[in-house]
Amino acid sequence: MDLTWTPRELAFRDEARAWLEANVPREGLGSGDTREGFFRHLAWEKQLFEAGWAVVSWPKEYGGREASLFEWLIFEEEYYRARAPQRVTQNGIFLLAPSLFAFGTPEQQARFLRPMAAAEVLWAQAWSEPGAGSDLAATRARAERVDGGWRLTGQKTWCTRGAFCDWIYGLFRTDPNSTRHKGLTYFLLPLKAPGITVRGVEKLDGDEGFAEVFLDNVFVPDADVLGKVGEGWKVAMATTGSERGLSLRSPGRYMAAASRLFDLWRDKGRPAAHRDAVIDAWIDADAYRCHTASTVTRMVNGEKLGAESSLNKIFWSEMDIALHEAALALLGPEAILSEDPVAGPWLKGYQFALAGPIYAGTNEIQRNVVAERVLGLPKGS
Amino acid sequence: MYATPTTEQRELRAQVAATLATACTPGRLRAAWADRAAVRALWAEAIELGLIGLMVAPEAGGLGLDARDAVLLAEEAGFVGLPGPLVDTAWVIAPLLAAAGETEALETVLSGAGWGVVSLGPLVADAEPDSLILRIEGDRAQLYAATPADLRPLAGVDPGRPPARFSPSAAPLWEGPGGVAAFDRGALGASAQLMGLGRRMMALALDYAKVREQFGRPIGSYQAVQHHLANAAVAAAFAEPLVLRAAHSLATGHPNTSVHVSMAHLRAAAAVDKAGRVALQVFGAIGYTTEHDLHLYLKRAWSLSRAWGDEEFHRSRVAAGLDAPRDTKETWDV
Repeated sequence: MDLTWTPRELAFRDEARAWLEANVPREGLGSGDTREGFFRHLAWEKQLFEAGWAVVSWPKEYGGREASLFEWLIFEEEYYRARAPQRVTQNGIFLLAPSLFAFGTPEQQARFLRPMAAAEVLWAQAWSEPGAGSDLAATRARAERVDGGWRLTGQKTWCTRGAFCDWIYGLFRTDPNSTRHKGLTYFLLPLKAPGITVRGVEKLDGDEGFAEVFLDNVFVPDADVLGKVGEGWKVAMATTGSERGLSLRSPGRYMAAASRLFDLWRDKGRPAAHRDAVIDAWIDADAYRCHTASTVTRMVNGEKLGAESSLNKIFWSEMDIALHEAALALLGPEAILSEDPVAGPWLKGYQFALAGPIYAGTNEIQRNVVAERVLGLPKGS
Repeated sequence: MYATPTTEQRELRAQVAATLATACTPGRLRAAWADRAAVRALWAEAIELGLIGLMVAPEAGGLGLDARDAVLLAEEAGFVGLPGPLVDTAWVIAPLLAAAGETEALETVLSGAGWGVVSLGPLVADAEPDSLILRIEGDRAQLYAATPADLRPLAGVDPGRPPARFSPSAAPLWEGPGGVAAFDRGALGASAQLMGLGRRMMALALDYAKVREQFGRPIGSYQAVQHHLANAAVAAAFAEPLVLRAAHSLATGHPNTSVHVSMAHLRAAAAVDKAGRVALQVFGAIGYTTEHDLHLYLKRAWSLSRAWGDEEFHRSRVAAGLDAPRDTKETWDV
C-alpha cells in the first residue's frame, strides 16, 4: 500500500488549485436549479471548458486532458475545496457520457461529446415515469417503428433541470410484446422536437429543479439510438454503476462540507454537546475518501465496479444527512433562516441531502442489492 | 497512490488464514476457555507461523514486516478468535524490546517462554506468571516481570481473555518514553482483530440466513433480515479503509498517526458491535446459547473493543487532531 501522490499528481493538483483560485467566482452563483441560476452556471461551464477543466478525464479531442482516474479524484477534491460552482452539466458528463463512450458509434461520439463538455448542449436524464421509479423496468413509454426511425410516446418525470436543458436520454419500449427489462431501447432526443411538452416541477427546496416531459409521437431518427435496439436496459445499467459508485459523489464534496462543519463548530465556541456529531462527519467523510482511493486503485488495476457501488450510495447519502443535521443543530433557532448568509446554505444543503436516500436508486433498493448481489442472500419474493 | 493490499500481501494473508482456520477451530477455542494449556498450544502454533515476531527485524529473529502487512494478518487472527495477547506481544512489546536492545527479554517472548501483555490502567488481560507486563501511562512505558503477588485474577465475560488487577511491587525491568507510539500500535492491531471478528460473525449469520427457513422461505430472503445484514456490511466496508490507512500512517511515520489510529479504532469498534448485534438477531434464540459458536466471537469482541482506549478517549484524540493547525498544502490531510 502506498497512499502518497506522485510528483506528477502533485503538479496536477497545484495546477488545478492555482487555476481554481484565480477563476472561481468569489460571490458564488446561487442555485443552478432555477432558470436564471442555471444560465449563470452555463457561463462558468464554458469557462471551465475553455481552460480544459470541464471533463478532465476525457480524451483531448472531446475537450478533456486525459487525466488519470486519480488525477480526476484530485481535481474533484480541489474543486470542492475551492467552493467552485455546482456542475449543471453533470447529468450529461457524468451519467450519459460513460454510455456514449461505451456504446456510442464514432458518429455519435463526434456529434455529442464535445458540445456536451462545452455546455453548448445541456442534457437531462429522462429515466423515471409516474409508474416506473424504483421499478425502472416497468417503463411504459413506447417507440413505434417508422421509416428511418421511431415515433416516441409517453411521459417521463423527475428530470433534473429538465426545464432548462436541450436534450434528454431515456428508455422506450420498442418491442410492443415485451415486458420488464426486455425490449427497451435507449434514445437520445432534443426537447425542442415537435410533440414534446416540458413542464417544470418545483422541488421541496423551492427551485424549479425537476421537469415532466410529455411525448406525443415524437420522431427520433435511427442515428439517435444509443446501442442496439432492444438492448436499452444493458446500456442503461452501465451508467447506474457509475452513478452510484464513483461519478456522482466524489469524496471532495464531503471533505469540504465536513471541514466547513468543523469551522462552524469552532465559531460557535466548540460546544461539547455537538463535538461527536461534528467529528463523526469528518471521520465518515475521510472514510469515504479512503474507500474511494481503494476503489479507484482497483479500477486502475482493471477490476470492474460491481454491485458494491450500492454500499457507497447508502454510505454517502446517510453521511450527508447526518452532517447537515449536525450543522442545523449547531445553528439552533437560526437554523430556520433561509436567507441568512450562514444558515441559508446549510439549510439548502440539508434539504438537498434529504433527497440523497431517494435518487440514484433508493437506499431500500440499494440494501436489497447489497444483500442479494454482494452478500449472496437469496432473492426476496 | 496504491490504496489496496498488494498481491503479495493478499497471498500471505490467505496462507495465514488457511493455517489459522485449521489450528483455531471453535472446538479449540472452547477448549481454550476451559484450559489455559490449550491457549499456550495455540500460541506455539502462532509462533511457528511467525506471527509473534512479525514486526521484529529478521536479524533479531523476526519477519521484519510493517503495519501494512501485519494489519491483514491481525484481521485473520481476529477471524478465528485466536486467544492470547497477539497484539500486546507482537505489535507492542516485541518491537519495543528490539528497539531498546533488550535482547534477553525479546528472546523470551519470541521463543514462547513467556508472552507480553499491556496494562493501560489497573486491569490487564492474559497475564500469566511468566508474562512480561508493559504498563503505559501517557508517553511513559514501564516493563515488569509478572509476579503472582502483583496480580489478582478476576472473572471476565470472555473466559478466553481472563482479566486481572495488576499492582506492581518491584521496580520495572525497563522504562522509557514511547508510550504513545506503543499505544497506537496496540490500538491499531486490536482494530484489525476487531474487523476480523466482525467478519466472522457476519459470515456465520450469512450462512445461517441462507439455509434457515421459516414460512416456506430462507429467512435471508426477507427484506428486514437483508437490510440488517446490508447495514452491517456498510459499517464494515467503511471501517476497513480507515484501518488500512492508519497502518500506512504508522508504517511511514505520518505526523497524524495517533488521530488516524483513533479514527480506525472508533469505526472498527462500531463495525464489530454492529456485526455482533445483527448476527445475534439473525440467529435468534439459537444464537443466544453457549451451545452455539456465536458467543465465542461476540464475547471476544466485547472484551477487546474496550481494551485499547474507550470511545471517549479516541473521540477526544480525533477532536484535538482536527483542531490543530493543518498543513494547507495537503488538501484534506489531517
